[in-house]
Amino acid sequence: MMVSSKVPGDVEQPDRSPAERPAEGASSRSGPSIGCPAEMNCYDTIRLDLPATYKYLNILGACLTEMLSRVEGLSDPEVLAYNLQLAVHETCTNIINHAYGETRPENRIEITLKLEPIPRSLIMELQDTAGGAFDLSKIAEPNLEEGQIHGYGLFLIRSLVDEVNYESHSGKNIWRLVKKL
Amino acid sequence: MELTITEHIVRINIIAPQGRIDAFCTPELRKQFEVLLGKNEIKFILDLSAVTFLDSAGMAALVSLLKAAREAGGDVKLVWPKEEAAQRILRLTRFDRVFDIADNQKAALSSF
Repeated sequence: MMVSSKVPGDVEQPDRSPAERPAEGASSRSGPSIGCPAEMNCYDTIRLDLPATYKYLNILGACLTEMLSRVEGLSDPEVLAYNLQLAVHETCTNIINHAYGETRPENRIEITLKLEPIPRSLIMELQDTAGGAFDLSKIAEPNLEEGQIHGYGLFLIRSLVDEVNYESHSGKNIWRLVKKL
Repeated sequence: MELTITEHIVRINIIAPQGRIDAFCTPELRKQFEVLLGKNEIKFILDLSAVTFLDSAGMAALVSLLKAAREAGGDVKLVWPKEEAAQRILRLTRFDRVFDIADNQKAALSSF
């Protein structure tokens, strides 16, 4: 599993004496934060490379919670983090169950989480290399008046984010979920 | 006067999972359900108050238990999770119409 964080625009600082260095706890990044001015185009990007098994999907919640804690002015960050964790989790289980279909050590899910300032949103991309294609339009909505054994997964994904896109090419499948913040 | 007295005991199984109910741990939960159903248990309370995360696999397991219990003449009642976000998901999926959901175990017991 690999986790990395990158802020385009980071500038390496020259070596400074202790008196010149920023106070402990202060940000030493010269790159803009999510509250950057409108004219600056900046991304905060986190990448996760997970095995395509259920075992480590619990990481998603902690990652999203901490990432959203850096965003100012969210009305209900805990519920938002839960909902987005669930949306990404359901997408992962879709990939595991339907795209890959079997557990193999080489099966991976690459997840990219990007905080975009304009419009303020979280973009969540999930990529697998299972090949094949998945036709979202053919998946029926579940009948919520009766308990369903199957069908809640895609319903939850669609309900919890603002945009759901799926594309398949060159043996790769990419889910793109967008939530406006 | 002849009198026949028969004791009839109705058992209600209270199952209270803690933490996550998701695709990773749902198989174990389903196994427990099957053990109880195999013993002819038909009335269940699933106390979700300590559940912190519930996904569609967990929901499917609850629905499977409900269907099996009702087919046998029993039922499954739920207790609301304390986690507010999880409560909202149960409402979003209309689980509160599919199941009777109570605020606590006592209320769930008295709803049988």
